Amino acid sequence: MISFDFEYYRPDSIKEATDVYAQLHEEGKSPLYFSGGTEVITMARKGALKFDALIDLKNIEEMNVYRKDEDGIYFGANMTLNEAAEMKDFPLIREVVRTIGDHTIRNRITLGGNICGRLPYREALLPFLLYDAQVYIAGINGIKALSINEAFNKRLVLSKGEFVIGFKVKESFMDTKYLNIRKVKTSEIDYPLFHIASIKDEEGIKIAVSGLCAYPFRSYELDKHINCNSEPDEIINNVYQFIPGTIKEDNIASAEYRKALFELNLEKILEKWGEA
Amino acid sequence: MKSYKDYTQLILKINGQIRKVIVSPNDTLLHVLREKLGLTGAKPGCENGDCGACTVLMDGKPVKSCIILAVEAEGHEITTIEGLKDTPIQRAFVEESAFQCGYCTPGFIMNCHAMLNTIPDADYDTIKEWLSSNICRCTGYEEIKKAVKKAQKIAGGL
Repeated sequence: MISFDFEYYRPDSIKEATDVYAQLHEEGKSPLYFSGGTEVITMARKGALKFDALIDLKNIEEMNVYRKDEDGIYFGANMTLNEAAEMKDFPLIREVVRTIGDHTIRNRITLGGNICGRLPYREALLPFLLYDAQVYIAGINGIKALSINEAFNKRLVLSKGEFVIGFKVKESFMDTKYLNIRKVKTSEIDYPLFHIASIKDEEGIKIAVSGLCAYPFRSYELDKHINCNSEPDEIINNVYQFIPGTIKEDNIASAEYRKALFELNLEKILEKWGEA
Repeated sequence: MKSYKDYTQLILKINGQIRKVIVSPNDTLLHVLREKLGLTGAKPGCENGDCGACTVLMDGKPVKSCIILAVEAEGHEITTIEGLKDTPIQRAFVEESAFQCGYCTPGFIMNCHAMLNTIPDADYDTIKEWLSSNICRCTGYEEIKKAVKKAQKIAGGL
């Protein structure tokens, strides 16, 4: 049970959701959008998150679909991680989301919730960054589509009252080769020490990383550095100047340990792409 | 648009029965099942979505009822351990002594039952993936594994 009172709304359309958000905001209340709820409920129970109202987005049709459009494949933000893992078009997405939480909890965690959450990992984001997906954002003025790499800066940048309704990936990425390395301290079901997802296409090797810093990232400077034709040793020695944040140090691992493990695995990735 | 601003009567479908219950939006499903409906099979463990002791089925899928609001369960079919009667997995748990203190057992059984309904011929990796969602502090995992194998045989008529 959560120890404070709040109101609960379940809109049936985007307009109802944005309208009720605006109305609650006007009334001086602090509303919060909500879908799978795993993070919101645990944080609220611990007193780490407060709100006056939850707006549950699960009944919004556009957020519950997976479909092939002319310009790509659309993932509704309400798709649970298990539903996303069942879609076999993008093996990297399937592989990445299957490592988040446990199987039962993946019946509730949604793509949108994981990507917009407050935890530092947000691993579901990694393939979407690599595929330069379009993110569809709804707000009081309608729906806009942005490149996820433009919309994401440490977190998905959303204005007050906005929420993510889905993501679109170009079909051309379906056959793109990938490598995916996730390291945990002991149990498989744990937050990662780091998680590197990587693809190689005509532009070269691209990597996206979670767990290494306080937020997931894909850095164009880092991609450029990795593709600079230098020896792997040299690439690894200079890699930290292209990583956009401080290396995480917490009760799971020291920064030094994370760095050492990251370097070893980055070397493996460079070797494997070199062989490919 | 549905909205709940205070204590309200909610109609839930639980174990095939329609149950009416007064809930507040901040009540978790686990709390309502145990404290308001007397269905104490689902257990509070970590109440953080980690241990799986509170696992119930929502439309046939296993979910952790400690991290679901009761109001979210409206319109869905909820199955708790009280809704299972002499299923292959229950028989197999008894025959294989797949419990010690028994606190985690309802959660394990609900998860196993959902898995066997969804993937009757689940292989080792699938069983491991599904059952990693539940923790047994007595660490009786070997017997639980045997029970799943036995339930597969019972359900397959072997």
